[in-house]
Amino acid sequence: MKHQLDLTKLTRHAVPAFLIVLLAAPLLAVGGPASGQEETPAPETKPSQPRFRLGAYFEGWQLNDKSLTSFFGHSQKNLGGIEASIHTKFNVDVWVSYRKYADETMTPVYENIDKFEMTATSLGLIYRPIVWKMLEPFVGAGAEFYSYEETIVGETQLRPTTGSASGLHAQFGVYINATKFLSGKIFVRLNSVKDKLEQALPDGPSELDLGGKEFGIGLTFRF
Amino acid sequence: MKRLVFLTVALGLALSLPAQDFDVTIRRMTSENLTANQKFPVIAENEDGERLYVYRGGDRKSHYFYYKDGNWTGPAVIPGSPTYDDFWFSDIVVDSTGTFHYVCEDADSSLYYAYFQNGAWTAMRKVLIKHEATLGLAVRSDDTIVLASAFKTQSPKGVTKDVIIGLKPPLATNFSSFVNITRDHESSTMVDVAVDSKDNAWVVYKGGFISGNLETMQTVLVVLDKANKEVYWKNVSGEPYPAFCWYPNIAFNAEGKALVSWMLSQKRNYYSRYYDPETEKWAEVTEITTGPLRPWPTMYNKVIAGGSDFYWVGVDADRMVVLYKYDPEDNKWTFVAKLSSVAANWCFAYVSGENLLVSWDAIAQPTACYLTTVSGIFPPPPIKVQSVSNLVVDRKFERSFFSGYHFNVLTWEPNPLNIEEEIIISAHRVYRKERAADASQWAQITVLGADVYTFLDNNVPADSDYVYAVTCVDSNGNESPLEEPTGQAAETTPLPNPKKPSLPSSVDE
Repeated sequence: MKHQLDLTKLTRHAVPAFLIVLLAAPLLAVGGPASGQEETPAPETKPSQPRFRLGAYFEGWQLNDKSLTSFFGHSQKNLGGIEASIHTKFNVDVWVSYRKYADETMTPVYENIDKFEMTATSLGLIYRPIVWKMLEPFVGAGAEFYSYEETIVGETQLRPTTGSASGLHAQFGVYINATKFLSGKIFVRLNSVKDKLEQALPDGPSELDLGGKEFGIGLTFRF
Repeated sequence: MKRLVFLTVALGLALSLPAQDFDVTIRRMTSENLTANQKFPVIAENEDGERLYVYRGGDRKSHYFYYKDGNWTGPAVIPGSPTYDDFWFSDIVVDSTGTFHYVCEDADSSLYYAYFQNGAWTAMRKVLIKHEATLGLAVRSDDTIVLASAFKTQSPKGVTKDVIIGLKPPLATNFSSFVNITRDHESSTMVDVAVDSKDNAWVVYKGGFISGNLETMQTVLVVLDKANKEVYWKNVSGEPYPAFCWYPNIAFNAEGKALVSWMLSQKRNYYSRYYDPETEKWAEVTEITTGPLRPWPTMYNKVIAGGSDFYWVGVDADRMVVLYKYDPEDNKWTFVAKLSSVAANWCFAYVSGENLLVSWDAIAQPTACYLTTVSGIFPPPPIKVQSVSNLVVDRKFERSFFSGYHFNVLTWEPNPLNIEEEIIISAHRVYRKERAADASQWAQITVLGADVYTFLDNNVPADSDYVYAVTCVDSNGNESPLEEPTGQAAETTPLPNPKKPSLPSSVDE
């Protein structure tokens, strides 16, 4: 039987461990050989890596908050995002991404359109432990910054609500280099973002779990 | 010239006579061939036009005639009627469901109660007090029957007679919650009671006061609130007399004014006193001039109200049953009509719509019982505007993801009775209260137009359990009664159908 990594089971406790692995990996990758081992000669010419990557991706985003997903009626939303990264050294990139989660439903009595929008900005590091010509697997971690807003269209007594929250993410995936300048990308991202609400939700909870998982494919221009 | 004078005099006489636009008919109720005395009849009619005529038969039991759809049936004996040793007083009232409630006395011994519903009596049952003479009944707005009576207690000092009231809640089968309302006097009897628009009980009785060796009598009024607490006390008859203030009784007119009448044996006449609760002013005691009465037993009299007018029915000096009308402006009584065809002993009156029903018995033995109907004497009762029909309350919750609010949607329909009676509705008034709160907690939350049949009560607390009532206001400003909803579910709360709830059919002795 083939064991698969169940990403939904990656809890908040798993995120710090993931980050430790992430931070340790570049050191293991670029560190010298262990003592007693024979040194391998360094390649004479190391191909230079592109410094920048700009890309767009298409993903499915599954939020953890069951109240929210059941109210709006979608356990997963598909959306697009943009990202950019800059290579520093030791195969480590500083990576930033932006995407917008949006969903809508009708209010139960007057059937006004109820819109929920959340902009998500991610900032983190990506480490590519192995850089092959065609494939560059990566792991990464960083911070999430969310800003959300709920608005009701039309005449209503319901007031709009805004809020923001921040948290952490961990991700892994692989770049698939098609040409010198163009790469494809497959990724999975796990987020842990929670927001304590000043006023409890009508159905009880006073905390919003905006964490979840994202998985998708992208296209990256590198130079 | 003589002809002109004659015509002038005739015209003057015609104009000076009061116009009589009512009919008086007298019906002998008991048969002519009876050899024993038939006495003390009382009469009542419900809104369906059913009448009960109850009296003490020759076998000293309670007998009755029943009138329905234009026909009298009877006589018959009320089931369980005791054989009375002595019997003077009885009273009968009708509640809002059309049920008749009858109480009579075995004088100086016991009271008995029975009710008549859907054409049948329950068995008479004893009211558990040691009774003294006289009693009165009245109905509160919730159909609680108020009984006012007197009871006597034996003590080493002698016999003490006190006035009490008892209550019979709508579904109870007998009276309870007796309260002694008498102050520090003795020999208090001859009781009557009426209920005002606030459901206060106004009890009048013959109060006996002892000052030195002299016992004097006064007509006393005690007003009790719904909790039977005294809120007012008044010596109505004014100066105390060393004589009997007999058979006082009381009524309210449609404007809420009160009138008390009584017979004063010393002066051999009937008296009355008019009271305006709004201004809290009593008029002077005034005579109902019927001539010098025989001291005994001419004392039966009853004050009644037809619309905003007060009338009085009594046995006069000639022992005829007569009808008088009261003029509050002049504080005087005017003779209206003679209601008996022969000398009478007892009389009792009941106002039924535009008609006055008077039951009486003839004094010649063997005594017989009669019914006099005075048709069309009162103005037609104002058509009462009814509350809306089919009031439905839907409890709703409108929400976004982050916030929400509860509200109740009320919908109703026009009352068909208002449409039938062509009552013009000018407004709807919406009332609200917590389900567990009593009727005094109804609060008006809005007034809506006559053509509005829905209302949203916004932002009600999530844990609220409101019930609602919607009344109609007619073009004269009259408002329909505020009735207690009976619905159990918060989501749907219809107003009740006010027709005839069933009382328990069996009565335990």
